[in-house]
Amino acid sequence: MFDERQRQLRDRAFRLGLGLLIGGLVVVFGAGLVLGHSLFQRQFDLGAMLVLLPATVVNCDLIWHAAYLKPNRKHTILFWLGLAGLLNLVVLAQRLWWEWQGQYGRPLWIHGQLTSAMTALVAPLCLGAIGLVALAQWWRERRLNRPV
Amino acid sequence: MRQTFDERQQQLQHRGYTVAFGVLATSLLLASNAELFILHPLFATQALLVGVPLVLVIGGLISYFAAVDAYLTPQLTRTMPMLAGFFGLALIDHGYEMVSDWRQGFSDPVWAHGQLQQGSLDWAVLLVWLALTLTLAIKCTREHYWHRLGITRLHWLMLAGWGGLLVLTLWVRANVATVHTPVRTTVENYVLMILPLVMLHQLDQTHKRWPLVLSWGWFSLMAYLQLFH
Repeated sequence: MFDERQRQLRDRAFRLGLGLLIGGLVVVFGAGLVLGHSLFQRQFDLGAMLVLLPATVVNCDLIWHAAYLKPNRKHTILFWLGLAGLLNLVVLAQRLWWEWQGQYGRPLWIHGQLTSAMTALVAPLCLGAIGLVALAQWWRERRLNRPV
Repeated sequence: MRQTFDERQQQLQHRGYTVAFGVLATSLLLASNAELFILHPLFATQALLVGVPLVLVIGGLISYFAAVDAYLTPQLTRTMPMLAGFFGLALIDHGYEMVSDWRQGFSDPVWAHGQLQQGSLDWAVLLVWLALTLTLAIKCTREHYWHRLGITRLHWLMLAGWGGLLVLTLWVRANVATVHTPVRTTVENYVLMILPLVMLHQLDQTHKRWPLVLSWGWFSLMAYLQLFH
């Protein structure tokens, strides 16, 4: 079970997440009104982006404040999470490099709308951000990781 | 007087926000990923994809708070019957619009071409007003809050005057005025006209002179505009 401090931090993070989600929905709705057409090219990308960004913020917040793992859990998972995030960033960098060299990348923004290429760019960045925070937290709490 | 939620209410609210976050995120993911299974977007427009889950989740959250007594601060609990009335009016207004649209044959469809259409948002809003009204009405009946409206004989007289003025305005607008206004618009304006006075009566305020002056000024201005413009 999470302890009292963690539970309060988790509540705060989820409140923040709800605020960001509603804010994002309002922004997307408002952008649609201002532009006169929908902001995203596909509904799939709208849902993915709107959930991904607040979820990233919430997860980073939880990991950084040590409210992500229950007290009896090992911190090793943070290291693997960090590794996965770094791997995502490396793969993204490689992909962008190839697209740049081969000049075949897709536009992020076309006809005043965000394309799925934007989601394909933002998703690895979000996972990378979570990974970096996890790695930092793993390093901060490295004393706890050693067997007693 | 400082208005604050007590400890129990704060805990319930925190839990409500957490659950709402989960529900909203999940429903958005499901709604936007439905495309993968039905091979075309589930909602006719992206505004609907945004609007329908938002309306349902926020409405559900407020209803939940109302049901567990975490919606109003303890100092404001006595305004609950008035709020129930407001939500009831909104419900009637929205329902009236939907019914009259339907009778004139231009109500929006809920489902067409395998997609949710504009009508789904109308129904979502109706559902939310209904949930809020029912929750607050049941709460008021159970906890015996209705008498807290505190309507005296003087208030009944004033309400009768307001009603008479409304009838007079409706008659003037139907028979004398050159520009004809829909009945619904006039009624809505009359509700807006008396709103500050009703709210002021419900609040526990010691210094009421200036708010009262402003509310009566608003009332007179609206009455003048309704009758002569």
